[in-house]
Amino acid sequence: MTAPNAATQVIALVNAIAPELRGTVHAERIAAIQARIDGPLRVAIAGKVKAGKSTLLNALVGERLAPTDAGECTRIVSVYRRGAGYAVAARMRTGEASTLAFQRRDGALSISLGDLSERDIDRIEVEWPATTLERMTLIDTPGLASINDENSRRTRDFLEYDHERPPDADAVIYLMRHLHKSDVAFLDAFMDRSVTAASPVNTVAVLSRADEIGAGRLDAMDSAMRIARRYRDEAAVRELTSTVVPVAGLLAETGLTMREDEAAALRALAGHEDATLDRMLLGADQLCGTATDLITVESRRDLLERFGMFGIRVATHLVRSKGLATAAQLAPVLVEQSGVPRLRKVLDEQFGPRAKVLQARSALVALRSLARDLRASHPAVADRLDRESERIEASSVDFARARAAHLVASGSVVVRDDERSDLDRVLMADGNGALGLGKDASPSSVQQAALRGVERWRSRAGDPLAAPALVEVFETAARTCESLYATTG
Amino acid sequence: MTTTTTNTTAPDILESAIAELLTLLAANQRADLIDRVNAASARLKRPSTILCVVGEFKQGKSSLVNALLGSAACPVDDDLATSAITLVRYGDEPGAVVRRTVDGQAVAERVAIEDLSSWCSERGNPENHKGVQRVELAMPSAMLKQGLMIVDTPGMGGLGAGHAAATMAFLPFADGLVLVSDASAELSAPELDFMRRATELCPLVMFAQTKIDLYPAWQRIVDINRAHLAKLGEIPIVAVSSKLRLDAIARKDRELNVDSRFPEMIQVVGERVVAPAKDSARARSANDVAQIASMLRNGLQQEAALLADPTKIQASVDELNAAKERLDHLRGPGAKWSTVLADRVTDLSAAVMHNFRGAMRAIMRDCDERAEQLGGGDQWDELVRDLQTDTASAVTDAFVAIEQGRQAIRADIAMLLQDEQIGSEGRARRLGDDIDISDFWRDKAIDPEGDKKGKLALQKGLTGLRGAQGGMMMFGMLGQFLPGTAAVLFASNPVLLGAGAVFGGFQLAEDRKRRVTQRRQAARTQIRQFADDVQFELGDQITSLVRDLQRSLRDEISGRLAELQRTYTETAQRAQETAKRTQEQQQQRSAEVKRQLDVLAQIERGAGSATGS
Repeated sequence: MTAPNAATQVIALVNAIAPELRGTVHAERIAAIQARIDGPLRVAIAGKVKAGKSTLLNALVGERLAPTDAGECTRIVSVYRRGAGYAVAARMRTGEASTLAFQRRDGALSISLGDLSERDIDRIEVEWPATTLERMTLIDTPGLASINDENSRRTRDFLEYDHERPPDADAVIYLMRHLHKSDVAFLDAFMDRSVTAASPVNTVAVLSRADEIGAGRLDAMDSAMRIARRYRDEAAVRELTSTVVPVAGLLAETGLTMREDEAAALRALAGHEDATLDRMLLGADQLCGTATDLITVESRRDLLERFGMFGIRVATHLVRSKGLATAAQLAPVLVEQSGVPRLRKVLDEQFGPRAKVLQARSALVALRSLARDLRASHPAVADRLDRESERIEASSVDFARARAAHLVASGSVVVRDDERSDLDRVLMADGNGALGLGKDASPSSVQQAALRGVERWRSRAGDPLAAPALVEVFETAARTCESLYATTG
Repeated sequence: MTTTTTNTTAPDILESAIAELLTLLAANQRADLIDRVNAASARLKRPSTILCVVGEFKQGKSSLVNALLGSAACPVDDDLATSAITLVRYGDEPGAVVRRTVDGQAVAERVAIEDLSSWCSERGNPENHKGVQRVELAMPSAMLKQGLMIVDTPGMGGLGAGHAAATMAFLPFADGLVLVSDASAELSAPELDFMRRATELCPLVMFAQTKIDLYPAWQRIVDINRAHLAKLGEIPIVAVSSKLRLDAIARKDRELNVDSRFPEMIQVVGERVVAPAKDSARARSANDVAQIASMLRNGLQQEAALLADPTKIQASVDELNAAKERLDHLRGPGAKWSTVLADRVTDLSAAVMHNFRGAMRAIMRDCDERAEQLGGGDQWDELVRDLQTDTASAVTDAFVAIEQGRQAIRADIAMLLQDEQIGSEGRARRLGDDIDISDFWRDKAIDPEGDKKGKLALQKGLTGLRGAQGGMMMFGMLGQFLPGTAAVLFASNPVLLGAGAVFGGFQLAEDRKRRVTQRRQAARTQIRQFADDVQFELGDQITSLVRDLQRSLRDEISGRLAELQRTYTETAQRAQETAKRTQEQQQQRSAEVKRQLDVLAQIERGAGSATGS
């Protein structure tokens, strides 16, 4: 589409307003909005306590940045974004920022709060030169429903969407350990009250710690895949999230950061006689408790911490039956098994094409909030902001499409089964894809298809008995086809 | 184990007392009393102890039950979760029975243990389409043989409070509770909250940290949880691995069994749950033995008096016959006590139903008011949760009222009978003069920890209910009914606006307002529907429970009167026989009666020492 899309229009508006506010107290806010829309998509990782949020974050980044621990450990919202260098800062509730000291120990980032109190910190911002953070900024949140209620509140505060405040995240990865009727209810309630305008359009669910669902057996991930597939097909789940992906976060985190000495320890472990190894692999205490000269108790403990029982069982199996020996050989197989590559692909497909629309939407909310605050001091600017943002919102087919896609996906409107896939395509696919055509389709065939689409969806929108929301969906579909017709040829 | 030293000797006294009493009863040809003594003896050997296993879903409850039993009886799967209450009790042969409702009729079907997952799992029986009320498993396990019954409950989900409410309502009826949570994380706020409330309702609450084979840091999690639980009082904590236990059994590996830490858990269950329940069962058995012995002694003493002074025989026989006739009348339909029983039961039924309806009405009123204020989805969840919890508590109250009423009616009828005039005109005597009738129905303290402070169950007078049939029935009912309805309530959450309204921007504010009003109306309708269903279903159950109560009390009292009548009849017969006997035969009989009285005195001492402990 060559016509200015929503994101371009929002960027233009921000750039036009920025000079007028230069030198005022609001300069910083408009700069932040500018940065938001120029920067990568902001993805929050949310879920119940101990769902494995920090571990997944580390696996997605490929470095051990977020602290992970057996106890509940993420207590402050932490934003991990791509930076030219290494920097860690605490953003205080008062608004000011202070630099924090940090160091890396065994590859893990350790941040010292110094004499700052957790309670006064609004969030921690980590800048890291990781290429994986180029396309999305990741946000780690404290677990919901934690014993320490302060933590739950922090997460909700952060994700809460109200009309006064711009959302902090554009999309959400929701982690759950095992989906159940009650988890659906939980996710339902969670989405309703707290997430930044969460919708199946910008939410991906992860079945986390998937290896543990199958008790860490060798076939545990297959079992988890089956479970995830079943959930995906359930209507109640489909209305809340676009897909469910099983992930063994610890395996991925360790696979991505695996060292050669760890491979050596695994080789030593795999070198035991069948009966001894069999016994050692029965459980954590058996692994550490069995008497052997081949590997020290200390390194067995390290292995457990880094790989978990599942990781150790898989790795020793790989060493013994596949003849893999070095970290370079083992790591890719472990990462593949963890399901994280699959999750990355899903995120790319799910959020990638829509990233700018999602960011533009967040930016618009921020601009409206800014306009309210400018009302007294800069009435002219406030008026212009209100007028322009309303115009963009009303005229942009992008926002309408995102909204219509949400209405369909969430089940808020009921569409006929035979229409569903066509509607999904016209509302969600990019460019010619919306008409079911390839990139290099001839302009005339695109125009013909677009005309047919306009007619089809217009006539559906004219149905006098259709619910208002359904009419809106059909009209949006028709508008999409119209704009494709107008911009082709 | 320090408690064993006192426990090993005491049951022996009681057991030998029972053996002697049985011999004596056989000699006196009292088959009717032999049955009662046998029942007391069975209870002594196998008291009904109920251990309830609860926890959030997928924490390894069914695996824990299997590991306790040492066999894979309960279905366990990565994916499917247990959806029906499962009772596991002792049986010489393994077997399973599914109890369910088909077209409003309760049916019990025998099924193969391998097929259980199609009845009690969410996959095999989604949303409980098959109407399963509960599953009963019989297993030939040594642990169960001591009289332990294990109740495996469906998992409680974070918000699905239906099961939690049902479990909570059942707790007063259980002897022990195990909260199961795996070692992947510390206890959550809802789990701790559940524990806090459970400690007030159940005599022993313990905590089992499972899956320690999978989590190397389990020891630290246990330490964190110990700190959490220390705030709730003294709660035994065990950390176990069900997987290792089953591995150990398959490999016959003793060392691995120790590593699974199940021996430790079994010891805690034995000492803290089974032993106290055994003590109270022993007290009840001893009480029965003492009552029967005293009735027998009474007859023998009369016979001894007549043997010592044969001139009084005729007068005595007349008197005994008159008493017998009076008892005959008492057993008949026109007896005052049976009218009183019928009247009192009718009153009780009316009072219980009135209070239940009143409580439901108060709940409804409160919910209606709250529905008026409803905003977001979380408020609806909270409302549904409170609705369920309050309903479950109203049902519990109704059951408690029935049990308390039963005890009161029993005591009153005992008093009434005590004052009955029996015997011939002019020489009339009170039934209570011969035998302390009220003692027939006076239960000894059943809860060994009866004085423990702060136990709600005890304040409510629920001690007699523990292990009661009514409790099982109520659990099945609530377990089936509340979560089923709850699922409907949650699935159709009428207040949940979804993010749809937020997604598009602000123009939807008006639309949102309109929908909120509509949905509040829908919420009220659903709440009313729920209350109607509850009143209809449970009202029926309460009525039939009261009917059963009347029947059982009537049978119990007639049974006791029959025993008493038989004692009089036989004493009269022996008195008449005595008159016909020779001097020598009279002396022989006299010696025999004296011997039997001596034995009885010993039996009563034995029973007394068992109750006194």
